[in-house]
Amino acid sequence: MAAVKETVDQVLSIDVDKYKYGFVSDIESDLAPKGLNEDIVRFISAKKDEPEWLTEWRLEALRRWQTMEEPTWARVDYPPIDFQDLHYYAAPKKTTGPKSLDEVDPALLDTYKKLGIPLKEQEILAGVEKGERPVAVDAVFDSVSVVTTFKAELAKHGVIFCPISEAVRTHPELVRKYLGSVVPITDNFYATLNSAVFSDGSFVYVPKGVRCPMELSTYFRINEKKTGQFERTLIIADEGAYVSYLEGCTAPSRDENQLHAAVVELIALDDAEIKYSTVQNWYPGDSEGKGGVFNFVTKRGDCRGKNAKISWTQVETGSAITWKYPSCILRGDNSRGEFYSIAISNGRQQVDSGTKMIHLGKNTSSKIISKGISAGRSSNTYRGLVSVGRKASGARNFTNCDSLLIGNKCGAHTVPYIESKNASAIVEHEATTSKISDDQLFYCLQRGLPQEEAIALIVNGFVKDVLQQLPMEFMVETQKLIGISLEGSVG
Amino acid sequence: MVATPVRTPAEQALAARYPAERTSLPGTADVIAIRDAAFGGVDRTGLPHRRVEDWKYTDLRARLKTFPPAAGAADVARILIAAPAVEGDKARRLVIANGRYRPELSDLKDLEPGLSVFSLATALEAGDAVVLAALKLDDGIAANTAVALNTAFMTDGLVITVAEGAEVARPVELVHIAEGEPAASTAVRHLVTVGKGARLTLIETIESLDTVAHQSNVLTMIEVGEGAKVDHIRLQLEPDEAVSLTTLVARIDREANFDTFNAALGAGLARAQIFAEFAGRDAEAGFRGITMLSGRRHADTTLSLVHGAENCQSRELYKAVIDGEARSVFAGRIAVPAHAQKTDARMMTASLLLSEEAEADAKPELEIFADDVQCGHGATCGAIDDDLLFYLLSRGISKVEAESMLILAFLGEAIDEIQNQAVHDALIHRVEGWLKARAA
Amino acid sequence: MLEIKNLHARIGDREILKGLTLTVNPGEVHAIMGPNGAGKSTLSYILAGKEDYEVTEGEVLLNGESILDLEPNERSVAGLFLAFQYPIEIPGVATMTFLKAALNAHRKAKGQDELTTPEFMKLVKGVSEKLNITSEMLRRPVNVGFSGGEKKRAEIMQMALLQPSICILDETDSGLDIDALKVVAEGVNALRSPDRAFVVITHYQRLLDHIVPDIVHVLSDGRIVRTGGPELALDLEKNGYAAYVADAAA
Repeated sequence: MAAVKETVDQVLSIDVDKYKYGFVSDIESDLAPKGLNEDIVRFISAKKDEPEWLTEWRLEALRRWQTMEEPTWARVDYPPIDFQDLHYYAAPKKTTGPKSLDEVDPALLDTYKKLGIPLKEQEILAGVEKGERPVAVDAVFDSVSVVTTFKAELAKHGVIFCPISEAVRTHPELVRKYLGSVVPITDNFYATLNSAVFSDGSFVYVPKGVRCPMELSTYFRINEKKTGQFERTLIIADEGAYVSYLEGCTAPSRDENQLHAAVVELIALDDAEIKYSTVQNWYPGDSEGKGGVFNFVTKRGDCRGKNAKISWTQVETGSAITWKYPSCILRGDNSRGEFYSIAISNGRQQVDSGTKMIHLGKNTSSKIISKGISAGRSSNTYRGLVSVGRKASGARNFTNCDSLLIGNKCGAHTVPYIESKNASAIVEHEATTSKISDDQLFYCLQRGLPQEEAIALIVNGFVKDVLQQLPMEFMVETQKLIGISLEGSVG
Repeated sequence: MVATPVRTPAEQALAARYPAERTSLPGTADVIAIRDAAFGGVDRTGLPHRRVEDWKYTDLRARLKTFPPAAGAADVARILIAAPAVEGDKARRLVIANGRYRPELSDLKDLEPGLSVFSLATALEAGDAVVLAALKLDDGIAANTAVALNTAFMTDGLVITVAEGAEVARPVELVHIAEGEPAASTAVRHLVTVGKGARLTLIETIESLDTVAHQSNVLTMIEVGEGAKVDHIRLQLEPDEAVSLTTLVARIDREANFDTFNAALGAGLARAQIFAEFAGRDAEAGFRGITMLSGRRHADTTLSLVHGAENCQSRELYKAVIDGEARSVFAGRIAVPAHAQKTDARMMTASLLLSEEAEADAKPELEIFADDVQCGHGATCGAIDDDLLFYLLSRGISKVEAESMLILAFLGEAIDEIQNQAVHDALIHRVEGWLKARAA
Repeated sequence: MLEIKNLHARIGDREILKGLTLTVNPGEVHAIMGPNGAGKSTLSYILAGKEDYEVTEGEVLLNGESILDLEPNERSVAGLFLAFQYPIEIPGVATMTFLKAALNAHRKAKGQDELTTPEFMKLVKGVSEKLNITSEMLRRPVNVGFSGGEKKRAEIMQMALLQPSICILDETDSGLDIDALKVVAEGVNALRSPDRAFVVITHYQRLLDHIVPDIVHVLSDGRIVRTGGPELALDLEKNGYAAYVADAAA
């Protein structure tokens, strides 16, 4: 027992101030004036040289947003956000749009290098020779995409991977057909805000029957002060296509809060599969709860075709506040949805996250594995919905939500909603909440492990089912991140 | 932003009834003040609807079509000849007919030492300080619509006290009967206090002699004293036309042992609410229930348990069988504050859907602030298992009989926890009756 | 007694039985042996009437009457008994309640009155003792908490109680040690009679040392590929199924 007490104290005493991506890059920015109105929306649209229909689409969203109220149902508590005191557009000055690497500001390349994201294809290919798999990266810095790697290689396979602002120009028919078709502009307060002011993000289209030859990845970085980041990601897997996509995020340590309200839409047609992984490591604020990113994100996938599959994997270690429910609409018969989540909160972080599995088609199946770890004075809530419609005969769901508490100043909450309107559907839900097992801890200590390492080890074991879902390259990174998130010194 | 919605007929009836009745309802000026506050809350917000989280799956505003007038005096002759809901037990029956305690119909012979029984209406009229204090509820509970309506309109009920150390051997049965036409409303409140180390089995039956849209609202408060043992069972048996709102408020003191069982077998719209709290350490409690639905009935069981003290153990088990176009709702919340270390809570809910049109909703929630706890919940929903059915059929048992056996087995897990044999048998008898009606 | 004619069956898109023909006469014991995946368990489920399988062609006659349109319980009271490879646990249903319901269904079908409780108890006691089934086991829910061997003995006990005319034993030897195997085999042998037949489905020869068959069939790829006497089983034990698998594939 004494060992547990000491460990708990130790974890409590650890600062979350050891965020290692907290540096600021000194890069001159092009900023929109603060505030949000029709002029700002037109400004953003004009900056991106958008067609009239998109400007109108944004303005319609803005008008809708002006009538909406911020949602209050989540178990998160934060001071009111002054939406007029933010910049809705920030772009590194020297970049007018990603062209070739040679034209990119070296300071930007340096920033990504420091973050461990190489953007030079030669460097990546050097890694390939050492046995690493190549990953195509779209690097988004504040409001714009600065570079997208391996575009030519992907194009050979017919895969389109580019900033969404570019796709609007080069593939308007695809963007117009799918944008807002999963998350409509009326969806919710933050998604509607995003629709009005979204800046950049990635666009992926994998044509019929193509298995995307490499992992795709977008790396988001907030740098500028007092900015909101509103990226928009749209991924379409046409019939029989497959794509695996990874998203990573960091932000500098700043005293004020930064707002991040992204929208991600996934569309999987007949027999297609999309695997979407996120390692979210936005700045969480300091141990007193000062600063940090407000992460209000709407992510939704639509299994529009039969036998389609969408799988979400998320590792949430950052942000002061996380409000995020990656969901699957299982519309096509035999379609499958998966949600694997690790949410770690420490310090004063507040997480309210989970998923929605909406079963509409016949023989649809879904699986939810959620592992929440709360430490410090944080609050960690799993909120999820499993809904089986009248026509979803033969639907299956299995849900497992486990929570682990480290110390008694934090909270772990589980709020599942289960709605079944079909007798042939089977829905199973199980959840547990407990602390780190004394016996496991004692066993590790007896074998000579220091306490903090023992905790990291046990927590890694606790989240193993989810870790295994991550692409190999990120699994090791994530294991380390878990150690850092919990202790700051281990790893 | 939120526009004031148009008042529904039920809300209009409420608004008309209360001012007309407030001074004729039993109680001193202090009681009227409590009633006014309760009614004022409901009047301001209107009836709760699906956007109010606690009523998400039971939209009272949409479902409550009317709020009929207060019940008049019951016809004693009809009550005397009515068959008891639980046969063959030795319970002491206390009759509440049309919202009024009827001592002349009740069994008050040879009250055990330490057991006292008197009318709530009398206590309210007398301004009994202890009773008045007991009417005060935690804000969250008091504001609950069913509770507030009970506070505003309560006409009577029983004040039952079991003295320290008294072991009341005979179960006490509170028989609620609605009688007469047209449809009427009743609101009854019971205050039950079980002293240190005392024992009590309390049975409640709620029924109606007429198939009209009676609305009953029964609120029972039970104080389970230190080391006391209380077994509470409620059989809710009204006809399909009826609306049944019941609330149990239980406070469980240290080392006490409390079990409550709710059988939702009747009423077209039924909501059973349980607000329970562990107020002292080392206590144990069981919360269980069954729901059997057919036709277009709707039954909601909403449990809120505050594991407010160290080293308490609770088990929650709710099972629902849903046929026809019926809908079952279970919402259970277990909250563990930071100081309640060594909490052990296991909540389970399971629904069996027997028809294409049936629906089940569940929201089993955990809210945990203490780290040294073992808490879990489970929820399942599905049809009768094909493999189990096939095994029974392969031995020659007919489909209808096999299904009945499996439904009974499914419910049995909860029912078999009932300690009182007479109630257990009465319940099994009702379940079998339901299964026979289904098979026919 | 049991005639299977050119039976074809599938589960989903997969055809498992591809023209199986077999005739079993009263008093006979047939063994059906075959490699894994040959369709042995499928055959037993189809005979008992499990819904998941679709019969696309062929006939199954029990005492001259087609049973393919009958519900599983109707097949049971018509005299067909399946001893399951994996008897399922049914929590909450007491074994005695279950046995009584089954027995009464059979008696009702024969136009007999239900047994009184003492008569029923006596009957169950009689059949269970021979199979080392304790009264403690009988007090538990159906198959719940039984070991593998106990489950198999309980299946044979049910068979003895219901007195079927055709008994299908699906891998009854799997998971049994030698002592349990003997008990089960003795139970089966005690039920052998001139008006009752057995189809013993097994992968291994060892069960057939104890329940000696009259006729042995080899099932491979959904068809009977060879029929012979008990010596065929010994040959299989020695040489394996390889030759038959190749035959079926050819």
